[in-house]
Amino acid sequence: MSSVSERGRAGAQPTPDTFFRDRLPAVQAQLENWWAFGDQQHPCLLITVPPPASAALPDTDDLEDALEDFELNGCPIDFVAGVHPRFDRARCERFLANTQLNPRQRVRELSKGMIVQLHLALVMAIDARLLVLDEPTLGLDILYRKQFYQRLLEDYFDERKTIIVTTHQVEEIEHILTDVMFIRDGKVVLDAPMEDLGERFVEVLVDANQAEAARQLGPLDERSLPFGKTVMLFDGVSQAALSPYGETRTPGLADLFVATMKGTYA
Amino acid sequence: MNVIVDTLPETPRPTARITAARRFGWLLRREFWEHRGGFLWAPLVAGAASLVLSAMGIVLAMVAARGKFRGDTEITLHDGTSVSINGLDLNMLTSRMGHEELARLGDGIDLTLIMASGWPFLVLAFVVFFYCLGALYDERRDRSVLFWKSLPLSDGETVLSKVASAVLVAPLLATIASILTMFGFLVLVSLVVLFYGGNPVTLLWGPASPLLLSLQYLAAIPVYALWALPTVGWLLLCSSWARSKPFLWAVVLPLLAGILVAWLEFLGVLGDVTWPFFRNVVLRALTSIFPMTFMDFEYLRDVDFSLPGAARQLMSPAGVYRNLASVDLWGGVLAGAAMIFAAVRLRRWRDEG
Repeated sequence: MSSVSERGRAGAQPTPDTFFRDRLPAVQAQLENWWAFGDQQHPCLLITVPPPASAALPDTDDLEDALEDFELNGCPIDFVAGVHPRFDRARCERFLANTQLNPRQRVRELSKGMIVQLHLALVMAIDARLLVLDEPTLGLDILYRKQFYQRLLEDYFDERKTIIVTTHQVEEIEHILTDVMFIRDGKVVLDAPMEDLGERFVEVLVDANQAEAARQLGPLDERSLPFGKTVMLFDGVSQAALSPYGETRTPGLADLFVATMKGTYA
Repeated sequence: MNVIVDTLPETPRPTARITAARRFGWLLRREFWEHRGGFLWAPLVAGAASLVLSAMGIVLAMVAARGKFRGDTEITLHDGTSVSINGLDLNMLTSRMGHEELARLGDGIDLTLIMASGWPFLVLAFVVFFYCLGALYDERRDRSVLFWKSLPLSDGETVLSKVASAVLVAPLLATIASILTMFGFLVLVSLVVLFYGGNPVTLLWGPASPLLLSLQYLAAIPVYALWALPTVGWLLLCSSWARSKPFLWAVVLPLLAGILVAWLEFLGVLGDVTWPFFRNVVLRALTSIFPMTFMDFEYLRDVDFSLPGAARQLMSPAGVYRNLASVDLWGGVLAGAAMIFAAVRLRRWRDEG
């Protein structure tokens, strides 16, 4: 279980279905073991809402589909409270009280933003140690996306909890990750703690006349900027060795992602 | 890094104790919430429709009979059963009837009651059929299975809750609807009898046995549940297995198998097996959820319908529970259980989307 027990590990998946298709059974088997042995220390809410292979169906639809016939007070809250040993009903209701959700509403009548609130309220009322979120914000408005992670961090996350997020929206979770994993064609191509990234990867703003020399050091990726400058991304070359060629900085996760995934979508 | 969460200190927050029974109760409740229309309303509406049609028939008969009350008249109550009305004085009729005639009248009314209350059961069969067919397929199709699987509920518990909903909850609700229909029908006919100045208590409620029939219906549910298992199992298996069109798979596979067997028999490869195959496999897999199919009421052969009180024998627990002695029933239970087990395994591994 160590691979999913690591704290705050996140993976981004190039092919949407591969991550969970490959790993979900293993994760689920472990969860089932916990439950089967009545180990109530571990129960998790595993919200897995992977994007569909084809249509642009937003992920909150899965939750919506599961619950659409129910009043908020019925299946979403009563039911989860009834079956989940770690569900804190009061907490869930406290959270919903701050929203415009009316407990007598049916889930199908809710707007997308309200579904997100419900989704969050359910997630956050469960005192899980391991939370798996698969593309939790896919198809959401930027307002809700920001809100989703913010509330998750402020009101839920603490040092005892592990959250695994799979997402294509690298930049929106970049600043909240502790570990990152890139998966390309079903294979892990990067697996590192966030703090190591700054030491491993360096981006250099190279002048045109130095470009050839810098290329000798084997950049992972390069892209041209206006006025003849080139940005080169290096893996495992020290900052000191690179500073003669130009201004150095730590690359953003999105740039790293693009460099790693180049050609995947071609 | 690589901190294993298991080594972290436990939170002080207490966890709720959730017993398996309580969890199962919530699962049943969830199925009910999700299928309230089929489980609750459909049988009630069927019963109400039967009452409305009966009322219309009665009014028609009364209008047709009007003006002829001087002589001997028959009022057709429902489904061909008739109560002779000698002029307007129904009390006269009852007072003149002997013991056996009264019993026959009661029999007639009981049969009418069984037919009038049969509608919710017919609807039940269709509701259960399509409920089972969709139970594991729909959640995969709309991917809501991901949410349900995210909760600490095992596949076994979930599938068993669907089985229990199909063979116990839905039949119980349909039976209640049926009993309500029966009493509604009696009230309806009582009004007619009152209209003609008769005494419904001596003419209807006395000779008929609605309470006994109601109890017999309720008592039959466990046997129905066991008998229905192969169909429920087969439909659930198709539901969890089919990538699309579970209905076609569920219906066409057994029929094709039956045709194949018939063809082999025709060619002379197999002996006289077509009818036994249809009876024990094809029809058993598809129609066991229909109450009172020819197969599960074999004991009816022993009922002498010429004797008074025969209608009450139709559903007598002694007869219904005699099914428990048949190999047919237990063979079906075994096959059903095996298919339900397979459906549980499939739900665990079947890929969604």
